[in-house]
Amino acid sequence: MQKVKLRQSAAYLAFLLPATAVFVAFFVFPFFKSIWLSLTDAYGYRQDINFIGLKNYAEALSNKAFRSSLWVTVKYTALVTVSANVVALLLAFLLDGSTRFKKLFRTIFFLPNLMSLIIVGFVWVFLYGGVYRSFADLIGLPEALRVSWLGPDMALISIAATAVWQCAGYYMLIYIAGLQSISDEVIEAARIDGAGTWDIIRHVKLPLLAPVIFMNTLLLITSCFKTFDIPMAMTSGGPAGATTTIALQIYNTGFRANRTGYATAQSVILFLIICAITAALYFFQNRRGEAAE
Amino acid sequence: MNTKHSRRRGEAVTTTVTALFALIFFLPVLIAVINSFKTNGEILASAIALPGAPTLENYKTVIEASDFPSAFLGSCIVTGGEIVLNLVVSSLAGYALARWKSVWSHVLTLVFLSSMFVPFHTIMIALLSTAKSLGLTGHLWGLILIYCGLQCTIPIFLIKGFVSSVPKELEEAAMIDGCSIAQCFFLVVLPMLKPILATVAVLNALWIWNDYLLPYLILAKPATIPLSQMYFYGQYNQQWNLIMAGFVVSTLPVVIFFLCMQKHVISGIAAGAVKG
Repeated sequence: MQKVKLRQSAAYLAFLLPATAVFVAFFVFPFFKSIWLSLTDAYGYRQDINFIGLKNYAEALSNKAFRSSLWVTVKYTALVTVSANVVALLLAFLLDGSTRFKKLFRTIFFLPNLMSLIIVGFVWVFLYGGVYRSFADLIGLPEALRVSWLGPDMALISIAATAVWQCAGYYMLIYIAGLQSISDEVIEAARIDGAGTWDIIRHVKLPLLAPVIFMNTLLLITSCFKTFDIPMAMTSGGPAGATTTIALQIYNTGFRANRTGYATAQSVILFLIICAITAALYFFQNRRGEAAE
Repeated sequence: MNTKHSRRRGEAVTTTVTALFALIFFLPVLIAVINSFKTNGEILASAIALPGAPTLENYKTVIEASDFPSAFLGSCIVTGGEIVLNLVVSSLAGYALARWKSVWSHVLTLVFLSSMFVPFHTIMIALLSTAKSLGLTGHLWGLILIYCGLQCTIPIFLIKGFVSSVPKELEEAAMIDGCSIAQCFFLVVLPMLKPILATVAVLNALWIWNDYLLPYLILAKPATIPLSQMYFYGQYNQQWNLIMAGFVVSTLPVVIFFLCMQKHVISGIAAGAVKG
């Protein structure tokens, strides 16, 4: 019996080996190397590297450009998380209700999510530029009243709108799945008690959807904090850093300025922020869950 | 009768509202498609007018100048190769984690799980230097291997969850009949995993097909569709007729894929989100 068990364990280990090997090589090892690099003065791929303690972290936290990228990311995350959630919920309720052509509409809403963010970015630069100009000419909007969508004041809001357009369909699908898992009996019971459609949405469906809302919010916040492609394609972080997110800042520091050590310190800060947000959200969710009980 | 009437009116109202939203969502795509049939001069005159004489010239230029066929092939190789490799690697691991009752399987599960908190940018720089020292940069297969390492955790959990929900009796019966664990896995378990493997394949396709940064760092040449579009954009800056044609050409394959696989994509997203 002991021998059989040993042979079994060996087989399971062999099954786990390929996944563990690629995972360690391309995730675990680079992760710990990043932490080590963040404590050094690594520059490009120069070989001599010196340990400098937490200097990179101190520099990042006092650096104006990095702090501005943090603030830009927070604003962007807030804008996109709230708007995408609202839009996705609204679309999910519309498609869950008595609407015709559901499949067609669902496909249209999800369509942008299938597109590469880079190419979506190009299309929207065109929309905010040439298309808007043509439209403004058509309705005779005076030059003074025209909005410079990708100018310093509006650029962040504009790229956030693009992101919402791109991702809302994805979160809508998750909401639809959540709505479909609510049992018909509950809704029927509420209807018999005299509840209208709006009452059912507010007092039955929304509360039952709370875990899904929590999950979508978590997914949105963590993905927004990592956002890179859209600002890269649309504005390259400009004008004057107005759309330089943390991810873009890390990229520029590491690959444009070649300050590898400093860039990895920034990236570890991003990691810690994401951990903190996730932990805080889970803590909040658990507290709420307990309060409800 | 009355409620039936009001219900029908409710349906008309929600359908109209939904159609309005659909129009807003679809308008950008429509504008892009229309402009892809115009000349640059026409776009400069008006970007919202219909084309005077629709032309396919833009498509010809894009397909030739960005060498679209080879970028398309590159994207197919990377996505397809990664999916096959990932399915093999993660179904083996997911099965082992579900069935192996040992401290080690719990430890490994935790290690895999913790990776979900780490953003790509945190490992990006060190990963590139690892890839360079292993000689993986510049090769499609190198990119496939790296993707497999980075994208195997969610598939492993999905498969582990699926295996746990399947009764063990079938495997035990097979083992009593003299199957080894390996035989048991390939002959008994793998065929049962089909639905979850389809989900995993679709999720991977969606993650990888449109990814930009990792291929850009590893390949450093326009070998996939997003990369070739980025290069093309830089080269033909402000020639919106060409860029819009590029948008249509590069989006069409994935839209066709979606329309064929719709059911799997939708259930995959729901499943992936629950685990992710």
